[in-house]
This record gives sequence, structure tokens and C-alpha cells, in this order.
Amino acid sequence: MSQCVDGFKHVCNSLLRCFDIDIGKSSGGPGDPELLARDTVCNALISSSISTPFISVSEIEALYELFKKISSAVIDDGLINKEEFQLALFKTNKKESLFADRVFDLFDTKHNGILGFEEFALALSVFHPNAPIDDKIDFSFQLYDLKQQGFIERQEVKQMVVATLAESGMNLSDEVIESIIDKTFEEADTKHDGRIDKEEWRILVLRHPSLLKNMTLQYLKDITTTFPSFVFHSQVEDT
Amino acid sequence: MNAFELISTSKGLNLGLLFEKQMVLQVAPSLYMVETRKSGGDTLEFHKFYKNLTTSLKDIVWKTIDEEKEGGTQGGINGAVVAS
Repeated sequence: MSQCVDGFKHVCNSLLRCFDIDIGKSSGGPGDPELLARDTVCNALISSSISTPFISVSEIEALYELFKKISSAVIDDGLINKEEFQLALFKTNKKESLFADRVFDLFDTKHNGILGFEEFALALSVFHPNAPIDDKIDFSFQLYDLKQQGFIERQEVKQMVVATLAESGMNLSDEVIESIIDKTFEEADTKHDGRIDKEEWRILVLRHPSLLKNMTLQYLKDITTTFPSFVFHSQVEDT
Repeated sequence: MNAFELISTSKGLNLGLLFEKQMVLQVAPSLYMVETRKSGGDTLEFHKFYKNLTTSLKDIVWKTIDEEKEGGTQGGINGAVVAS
């Protein structure tokens, strides 16, 4: 893991050096917000406790292209607000979602209602195919812990099941919903206290890895082909 | 079926959608803007597809951005304003 961080530091230093050299060619001068954004991200990623799987310069640049696209959709201010996030996810600004709200809140580590690039990149790094599974387990646990009390309660599970069914227009009777949740808790709640704690969650998902399927985005591995970085002409070679 | 299996199928939890390109903006109650963007692949094929799409929708498409520009296509973003 320390090898990963060192590798990343090396790439980040090259990235920063590269932009020092190019500063005359960039569209802004020193203090160019885009350069600052990248500096911030590098520092944040280096000092973060998540061992980031984004180890190449072009991956970060490609992620930045995606960020720019999403953050300029409604207000072009270099930040993603809740509406822009909904738009990016559902392709319409008219959809509200319990889950999108929860995801947005988890991304928004500064709790100021908007996502800067470093929050965006850090949160998405958990979804990389190479990210440690523990990070994915933690993130998904926090996602489902709606009231953030450190437990996934039965009532929260029911709320999420009902929301999912409503979204897809599927109709299941309350009886059927209750029995699905019963069976789930039977297996998951080994301490029999009516709620799922972090340890129980961990054991459950390790036994059923498909429960973490939505915690991995293959796109992140191929992101450089989806978003070629044609704005920044980095002279750094990807190792 | 596991409750969490069901929950994880929800659209709001599938961030892969962030990478998808088609956007529908509700501009007014009966007016929608559809943006079709090519993310990869053959530009010529995309253009054929796009021409096909706009021709079939001729009755409800007001104007495509292509028709506003003259010639000059970059195979990038194409847009159409559609009345619903």
C-alpha cells in the first residue's frame, strides 16, 4: 500500500512540475482555477487515508473532464450542486431520489451542499475496480445507514425497499416486503438486536459479493478513453 | 431475494449513469431538449444514426443545431429541440 502512495506521489509531483512548466501556455495565469483544482486534488489524494487507485495523471485529467461537464450543466461555477448531480444521474432535472440524496451527502464531506473536484474525485476513487474492498464495504454501509446512527435499522431497510419499488413501478404487498426483510435480517442480524452493525454488514457482503456490485464502476478503469484530455497537454509519460 | 439485492438495483445507486451521455432537460412543461452526444466510436456511423433519428422525428423536431450551422460538423455534440 505504501508503494501505491509513493507511486502516486511521484505521478502527482510530475503533474505539478509539468504545469509549472506549461504555465505560460495555459489559458489562465498563476492562480488559474483549473491548475489550483488539480493541485488541491493531488494534495488531498496524497494525504488521504484512502489508498487511491488513481495512479496515472491522465486518469485524474479524464476525471476532471467529467467533473467539468457535470458541474457546468446548470450553473457554470466549477462546482456540482444537488440539481446538477441529479441531472447527471437521471438525465432529467425533475427527479428526486432518496438514494441520490444519500450519495450526494456522502460525497459532500465538507457538508456545504456542493461538490468540489477533490470531494468528487476522492469519493469516486472508492468505486474504482482496484479500490480496496474495505473502502467499498465502509461506503456502502454508510450509504444504507440513512439516519447515520452507526446501524442499518429494519425501518431504514423497509424505507429503501419501498423507495426502490416505487421507482421501478413494481408493486409488492406489504406482506411480501416484510417477508423479504425478515429473511434478510435472519441471515444478516447475527446478534439478533433488530439492526445490522458494521461487522454484520461486512460478513454479509463478503458472503454475497454481488451486494457490492454497484460499488464498482468499470468505467473508471477505462476513463481515459471515454474522456480524452485534449485541454491539458501534459508532457508526463504514464508509467 | 435479499432486500439489499433489491435496493442495489435502484437507479440512484448506480453511478455508472454519470458516464452516460444522453440528457433530457425539461425546459417547460411540454418542451424538452434532448442532447445526443457521441462518447466513442465511429464518427460517420454516429452521424448516420443522428441523421436517421432527426429525419424520423421530423414532425416534432423544431430545429436541430446542425441545421442552424451551415455544414461544419465536428461529430461532437448535436442537439435538437423537441416539442412533446
